Amino acid sequence: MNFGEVTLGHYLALSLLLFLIGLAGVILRRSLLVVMMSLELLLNAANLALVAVGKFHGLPDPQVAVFFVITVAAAEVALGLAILVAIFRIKRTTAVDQMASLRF
Amino acid sequence: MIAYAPYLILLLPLLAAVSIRLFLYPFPRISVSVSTLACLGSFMGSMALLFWGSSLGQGIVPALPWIEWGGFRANFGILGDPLARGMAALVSGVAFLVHLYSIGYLEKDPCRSRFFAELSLFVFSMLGIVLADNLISMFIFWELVGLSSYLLIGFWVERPAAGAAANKAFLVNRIGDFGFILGILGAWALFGSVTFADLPGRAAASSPGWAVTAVGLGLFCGCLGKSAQFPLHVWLPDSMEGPTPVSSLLHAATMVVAGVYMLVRVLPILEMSQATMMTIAWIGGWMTLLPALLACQQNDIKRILAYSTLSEIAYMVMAVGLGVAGPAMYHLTTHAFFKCLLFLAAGSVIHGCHDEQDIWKMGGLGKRMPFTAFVTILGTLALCGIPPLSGFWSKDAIFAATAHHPGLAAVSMGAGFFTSFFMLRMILVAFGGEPKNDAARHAHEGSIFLTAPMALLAVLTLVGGLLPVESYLHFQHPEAHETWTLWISLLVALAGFVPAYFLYRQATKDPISIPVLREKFYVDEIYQRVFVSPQDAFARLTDAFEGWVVRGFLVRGSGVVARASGQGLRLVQCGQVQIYAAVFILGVFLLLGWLWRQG
Repeated sequence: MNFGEVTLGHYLALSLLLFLIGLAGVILRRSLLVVMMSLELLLNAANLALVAVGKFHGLPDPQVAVFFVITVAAAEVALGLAILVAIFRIKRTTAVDQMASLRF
Repeated sequence: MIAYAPYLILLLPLLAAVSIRLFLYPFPRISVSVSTLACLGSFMGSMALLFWGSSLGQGIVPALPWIEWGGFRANFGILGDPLARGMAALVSGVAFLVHLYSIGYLEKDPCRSRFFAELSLFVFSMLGIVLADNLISMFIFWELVGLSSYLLIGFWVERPAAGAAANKAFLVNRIGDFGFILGILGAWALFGSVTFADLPGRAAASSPGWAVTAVGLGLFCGCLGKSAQFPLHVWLPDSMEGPTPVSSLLHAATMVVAGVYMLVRVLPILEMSQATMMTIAWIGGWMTLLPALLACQQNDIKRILAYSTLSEIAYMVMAVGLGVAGPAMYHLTTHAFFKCLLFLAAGSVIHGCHDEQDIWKMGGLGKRMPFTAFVTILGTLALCGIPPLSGFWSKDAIFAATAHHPGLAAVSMGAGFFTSFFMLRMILVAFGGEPKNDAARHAHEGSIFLTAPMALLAVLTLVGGLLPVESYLHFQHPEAHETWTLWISLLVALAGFVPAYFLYRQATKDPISIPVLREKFYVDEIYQRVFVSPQDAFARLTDAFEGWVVRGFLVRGSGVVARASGQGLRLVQCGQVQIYAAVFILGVFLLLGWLWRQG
């Protein structure tokens, strides 16, 4: 059984799939921790697309951009986890729908 | 290099002040010695300059270039003319004696390091005024002197009255200094130079009369403030809140006569305008009489002496106004000796009576403090101009100059009557009679540090009249000496003793009471009503503006608006972050679809 060569389309399809999973996680999951993991999934989907395009078209720029994304993602996770811990200390919960104090 | 040595006269006290403040502060004994030795060094230097300076010629000390900008030029130089040399020796000599006296006077004060640092700062600034060779650097030292006066009046920081007196002295001096700096700017605008050596030559150049008068009066304003002449005299009596050595050195012997010294320096400018000279002479003339009247009803021993200082400085100012700088400087010198002596004696009395300053609570001190009583009588005779003490010769020189101005002669000689009156009153009440309380009963002489400077000053008070001040300064006698002024002034001064003797010989309380004199002609009250109260009202108004408009309306108002609009906008929020995300994603899809259709 020959599925043929792995093409750019396959990579992009996988990337899209990851992205949709991430989106669903961000919108639907209640735990703030999982929401943040889903955010990471979104970033990794974008990374995958960038690397694939860079590889298949022989471009260096998208691959360089990926390093920046990884760096920013690391910083974002550190900050996000700190906020998460702070919120948990005050509210004793990580459920996103409990955090609605902006509403009147 | 040796030519720069005179700068040491200036630098030694500054060095002492700085090193005490920075390093020696916790060691009072070392601070005291350093400050006193620095002053002694300055005195020796000044004496060397006094005796050997003349062989070096006029520009004995090379000037350091300081400001050169456009046509403006001011060096930092040391002046070597006889006037500066004589004054420097006088200032540092008296300052050294007062340093010695302060060692005894403040021997138990824990803050005496600070006192001596401030005293050294004063000596530095005062010598700076004396040796300055131009108006700009003189003005800077002038302000430094004001600063050290402020610090020393307020030395006893725990007394509210001392703080108030220090503030008053500083603020009143600001008014005079404002006129002074206007005068300096005017002098530069008119004559193109602020250097004293250039002034006689440049001042001869033609300038409009009113401008010269204005410049002269501006410079005189500086003298009004520093030398405490009407209408800026109110700070000097209050400055007696400071320690007595300070009253003696700053507010009697040296600092307050800086105004007279400055007038003598700028005499070529003043002499160009008859109006200026007459203003100075008449303000001086009346100021001899009025404080002498006030002193007759004062009860604080230091305030009595302070009013007599006002009166004596006025003699010098009047002499300058009459164009005779020689007698003015002569009287300045002798006055420095006998007034310093009188203040040190007053300090000795206060020290002996445990900080009692009211003469009506003393009494009988003549028996218990014979030396102090003796030097007080000596100083009084000199102050009243009784021959052969020093004050007689210098006052006589001033009276001689009033020979052709009957009005001035009348007020200044009348002042002599009241001077004799209140000085004998002070002596009879404080030193005569019986002790009024226990402090006076147990009064005793102070240590050798208190008596030795008084003894030296007493000698100077005796023989100070022999000092050839006028011939040393090369001020010529303007006219032949009239003898009638001598006899009349002497008679009037002696006459003042008579009523005082009969009124106060046995008095236990003041037999005469004149409220208007006791309340100092209500000048303080008038200033309070006219200047201080409106200013306070204005301050309260601006405070209210700040509180209600700036803080209340603008700052808090903007805060309230931001808060209210924030609360309003909360109404349209749901607070669920995932719904925001979903709406956001939906929006992105819609945007992408629209872009795709546009294609």
